[in-house]
Amino acid sequence: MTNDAITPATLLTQPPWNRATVLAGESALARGIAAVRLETHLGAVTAGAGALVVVVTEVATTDWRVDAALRRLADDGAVGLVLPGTQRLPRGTAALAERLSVVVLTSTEDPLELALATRQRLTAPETERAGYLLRSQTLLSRRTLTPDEITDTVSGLLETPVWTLTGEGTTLSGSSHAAPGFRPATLIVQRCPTQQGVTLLVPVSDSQGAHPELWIGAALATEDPHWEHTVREVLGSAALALRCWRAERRVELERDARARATVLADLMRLEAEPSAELQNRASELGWRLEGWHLGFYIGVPDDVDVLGATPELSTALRSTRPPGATAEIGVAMAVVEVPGGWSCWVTLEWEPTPTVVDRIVRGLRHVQRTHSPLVNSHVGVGRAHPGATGISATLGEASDAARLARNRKEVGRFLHIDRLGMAQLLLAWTRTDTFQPAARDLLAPLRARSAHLVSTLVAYLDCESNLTETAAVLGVHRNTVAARISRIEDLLGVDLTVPDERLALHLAARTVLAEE
Amino acid sequence: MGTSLASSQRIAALERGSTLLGAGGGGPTPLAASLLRRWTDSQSTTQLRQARELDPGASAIPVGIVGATSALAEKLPSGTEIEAVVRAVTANTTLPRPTALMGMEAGGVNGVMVAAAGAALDMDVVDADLMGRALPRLNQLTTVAAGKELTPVALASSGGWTAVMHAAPGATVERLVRSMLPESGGWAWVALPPVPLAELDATTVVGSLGHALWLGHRHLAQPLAQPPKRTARALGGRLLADGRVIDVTRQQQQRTFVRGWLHVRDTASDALLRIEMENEYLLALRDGEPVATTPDLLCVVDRRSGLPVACDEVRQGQDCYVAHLPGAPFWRDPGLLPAVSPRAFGLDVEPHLLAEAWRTRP
Repeated sequence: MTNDAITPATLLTQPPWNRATVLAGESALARGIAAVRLETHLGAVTAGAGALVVVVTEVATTDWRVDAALRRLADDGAVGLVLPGTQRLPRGTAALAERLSVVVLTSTEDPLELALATRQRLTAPETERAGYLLRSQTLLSRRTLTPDEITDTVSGLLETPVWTLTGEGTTLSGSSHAAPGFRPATLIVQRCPTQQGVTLLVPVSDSQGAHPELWIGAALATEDPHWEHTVREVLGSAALALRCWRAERRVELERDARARATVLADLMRLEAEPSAELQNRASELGWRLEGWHLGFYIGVPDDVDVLGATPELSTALRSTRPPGATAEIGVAMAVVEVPGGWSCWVTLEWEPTPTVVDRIVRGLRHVQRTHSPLVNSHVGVGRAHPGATGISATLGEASDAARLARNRKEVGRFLHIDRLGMAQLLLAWTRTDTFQPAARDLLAPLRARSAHLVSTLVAYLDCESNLTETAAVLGVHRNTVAARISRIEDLLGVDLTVPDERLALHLAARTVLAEE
Repeated sequence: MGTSLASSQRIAALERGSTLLGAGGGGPTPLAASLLRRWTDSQSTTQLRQARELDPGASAIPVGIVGATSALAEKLPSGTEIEAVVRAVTANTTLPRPTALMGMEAGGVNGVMVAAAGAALDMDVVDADLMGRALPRLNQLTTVAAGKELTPVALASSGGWTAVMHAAPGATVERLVRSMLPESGGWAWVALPPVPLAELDATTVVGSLGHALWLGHRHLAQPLAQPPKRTARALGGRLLADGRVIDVTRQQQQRTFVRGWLHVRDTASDALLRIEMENEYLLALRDGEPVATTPDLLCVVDRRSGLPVACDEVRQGQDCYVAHLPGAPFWRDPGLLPAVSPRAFGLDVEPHLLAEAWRTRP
């Protein structure tokens, strides 16, 4: 039995039942009534589980068939028997009703009235619920509505506050109410009892049905199980509308993303002045090809939904105001989805001064730190380049810088080409995943023989192949250095007088030492 | 070769057995038993006989008392009425004068009265009757159920007059007899058409008086303190309830007889046994489910005295047990059963009987 079930006890509080009398079986007063049945006479009484049986014709309550009927009702799991009239039950029959837990009621009201009133009460919640669902369905299905419209519609229908949240739990539309214990990552309908009543939150799952992408919530002022059920159903249909909106927006995003990616690909291939056609396509996307471009690349791990996060990222980039700054980045900005992240650039009228660049870079760092999809991102920033070909130049640099930034936690996975000496950049390139193993392999014979050989080699090459200086740096005898160098040449099979070999070994030794 | 009914133990056994066969009805037996003791003296030769011990060409005449048996105490039978009814019937049949009496109703007062009649007329009694228990109406006799004529019927009042009815259907005879009873002082002796001994098996309950003797002996032999379950089993039946009567109601309805019911709450299981009664206990429902019906015997027995309790004696608060004893084999015939099934008493329920009827003992 659920706490919202209608019981003989609740029936007896309202007309026409309030004039009925309980003859026996008080213990069954709290049992839930599932159905009401009319029977013409006692001999025919049958019932299903949870039934309340109303007998239509006058019967003597003293008849043995009352006992027999009680037993049949009990065997069927029925709740009670209603006899017309105002008679009393024999003591034994009353005891039997109590023993079988079947309530016996009597009333002088018209049995048909009693049965109809009960049936109405039993089905009223469903009827009401169906009405609400029908209206919400009609209102929400005319066209695809935005979250704001959906919130307004549902709120107007239920006359209760309604709001939507993102999958992370931040408000998307409406004004959210308290939901203690709400877990935004758990894909189930959530019921949070509050001080004022109850907050219900219904999830909108992603296309795989694995994570909540959106939530729609409603705050109920009272705890009424029937009303809660109705609200839950209506929110369910609103969730469907939200999903529609989400899907439609996704299609738009895909289409725009593809358009941007195609134009960007053409721009990246550009070596001379762009054709008029390309200029048109770019301007349709709001991109200016003249002026100075400052590019940056934001890379994210594979599990981030790049396409889905683009609109929020664009908004964030455009509106962010870094701490201490007096203005937003506030410049024309292009954001294009590329494999593994976004390529973005700002276009400026003039060559940007260091102050301008600094403001943009600080804004960018702020977004990276505060914007949730970018938690594990790495960002590289290129230098400003002019003209249409400048876009590919600055984005290339940004992409390289980002690749370096990926493994450099110490700088917050953020690198700006301007801040790097080209030499450092070059050296940094040798610290890539492909070069480092090659360097280790190259120097493996030395490392296997003696720990000193690699440091001796580095010192020797650093000192421009001068034995005396090398000996001084290492604090050993000149002959020792000479012997080591000749052993190195033997072990590696190289000739240190050849410039190419010298350079390769120098880089490799530096890499290995830095690694150690 | 027959069984003498002169010993006081036999009289006590017959009285108890008849009461049990009465299933709550049939009238109180003590007065009949004292009449039997009074009319039976040391010279009495009356014996209970099996049909095969007698001349197969002979016949036996059923006799008994109809009416309010409680009125017997107000106006005792003299014994001369018996001779009058027997003569009145035999004068109106073509059969030779019967050589023996037989029971009309084995249950209740008539089970003892037939023996008393035998002592009064100094005639033997054939071990058979026309009901095998107590039944309220004359048209519920085995002979009627078997398609025999109920008439001629003779009625003799203690006031000395005799009435004979001819060629009336069973229901009419029943109504006529009832209408004459007030004039007769509440009760009257009745004699029915003699039954040729050759037809005994087909039209009567053979062995019923012997069964009453056996039942009485067995029941008297059971210790009072014994669990009622064992007592019921010793009588060939089963226990339905053992507890206290929590309500008894009797209602005079449009019909002739008083209808009533009672509930017994079984002490061990708390189950409620409802018993519907008219003149006899007719139907038992345990927790609303029919468990025993007529023509089997429903016996309510007082726990303290061990005496069967009649329908008009049972009262609220009485400690008793209810036993379901087998009925007569005669009524198990599907063609005859409807005459005594619950529906014959206006109870719309199928008969619920024990697997076996009682066994006829030689």
